[in-house]
Amino acid sequence: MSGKRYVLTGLLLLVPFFLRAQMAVGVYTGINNSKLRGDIPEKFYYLNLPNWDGGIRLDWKVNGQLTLSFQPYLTRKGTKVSYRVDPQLDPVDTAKIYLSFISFPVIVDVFTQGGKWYVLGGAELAKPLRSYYRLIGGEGEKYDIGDHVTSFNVYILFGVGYRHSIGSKMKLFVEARYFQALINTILAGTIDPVEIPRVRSRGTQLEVGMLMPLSFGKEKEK
Amino acid sequence: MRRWWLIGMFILFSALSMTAQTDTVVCSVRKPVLKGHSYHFGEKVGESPFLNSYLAGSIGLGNTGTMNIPGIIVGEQEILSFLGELTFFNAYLDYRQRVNDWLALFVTYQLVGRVGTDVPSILVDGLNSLSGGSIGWLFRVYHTDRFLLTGSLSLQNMSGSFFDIVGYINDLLDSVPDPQASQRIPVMNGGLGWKAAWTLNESVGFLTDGDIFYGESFVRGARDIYFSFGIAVDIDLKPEYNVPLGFNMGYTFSSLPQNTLMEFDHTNILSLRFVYTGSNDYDLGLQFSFYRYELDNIEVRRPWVRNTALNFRMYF
Repeated sequence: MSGKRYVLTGLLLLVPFFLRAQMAVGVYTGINNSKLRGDIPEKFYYLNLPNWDGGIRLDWKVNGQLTLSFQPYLTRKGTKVSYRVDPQLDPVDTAKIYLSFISFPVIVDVFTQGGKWYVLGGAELAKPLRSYYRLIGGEGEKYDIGDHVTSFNVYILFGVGYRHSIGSKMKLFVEARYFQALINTILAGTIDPVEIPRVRSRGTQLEVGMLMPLSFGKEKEK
Repeated sequence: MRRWWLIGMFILFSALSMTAQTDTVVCSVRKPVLKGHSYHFGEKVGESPFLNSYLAGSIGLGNTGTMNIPGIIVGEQEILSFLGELTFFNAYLDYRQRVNDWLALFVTYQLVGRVGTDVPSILVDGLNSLSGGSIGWLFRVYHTDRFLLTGSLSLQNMSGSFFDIVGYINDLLDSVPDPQASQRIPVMNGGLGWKAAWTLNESVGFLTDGDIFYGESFVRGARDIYFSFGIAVDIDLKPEYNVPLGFNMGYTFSSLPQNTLMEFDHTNILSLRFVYTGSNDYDLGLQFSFYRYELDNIEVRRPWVRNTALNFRMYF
């Protein structure tokens, strides 16, 4: 049997599970504010850079308190880089580094007694799609840095969320998250002569989205 | 950014408390109580296994007492030899938010450092500090009327700043390429831990905790495992004598850099804490800690460090 048939058979075997389970699907979008943190060349500074993200989510309600969520999304993270020319002058914003990813987070939502507030935690596997920098005040040209960036990264997520019912089925959710990369962003030894072996991305996200329960399950979502 | 992040998380998790404890508090006492014993916790020794919401803080100072430290040997001559003291400082902030009766989220921030009290001791031992925070989950593992065991998962992000004149001079003498007097080293570690409490009676309870972290070392190019294990006895005089005073005595064996300010080393921390137990919502304590410290670069007998800290814990 070929690989595709294995996958298809697996999916078919999972159909009864999905029919019984309380599932929900949704879309979301938001902004993130991220920067690199860690080793930095002398006289340089990393500053926060706002970016966007958006994706879809598939939720499985495990019980009244726990929801397991798979949330593939596209995101762009990055950092602004400043450089201090003279010790007595303020640093000058020099460049913006952009790191675009397709990311696959698996997140657990734990609801409080009220059922609307929840905390979340999870991990995501991120695959870089494009990495480049642009000089501030330049002509907008993008300089590719893909060769200096690690081929994948793992992020840890912590956060808090709130869900509000709209009508009988739809739910609006708002989530504030903190993310931290576990793997160094820059490949060691690739930026000669500067050595920045420990530098990672981290920041905050604010996500807004809609969730719609799939009506396969017999029980209605509370 | 770190400050705004902490403020933001504090506000968000404070909002959670509006619904987080609607039906789980068994009485008006907000402090953690197990089988009638009200527990009080110090810093570094006997950490809380309870899933209560609180804000705790601590600020402390310590010193080594006068030491006779040998200087640097250049040829056959010794330079920079001195009598002096080292001062240690530490500040700690810990926020824990109860989510439900089996889960809590915590965020901590700490700053620890070591500095000489005069110019020669600064020259010889440098100026060293570690700062950073951790974020993680605390979850209930086992609970009876007298015993509570919780586990924790956390991520710790720290940054070390080291100003080492002796190392710099030695590097110059040894013709080490590109010697540096100061270094800033970021590290990140993931940790697993456990904390437990067992009540003997209303006046006496026992605490124990352990943590193991794996990740980057403050020595570049290295990875390391850090661990900490502690036990403590918590005594409250209020139930028996109606005196609002408690004691917490503990011992911790630790290799965590924030406790030792060293790499690849461990220390034994003895602690005694006096605590005001008159309030149901907060406790206020004075903690005395004693531990031995190894001086980097210098071969002398490990001096004792005496640390005094004022700490508080406010429950909500």
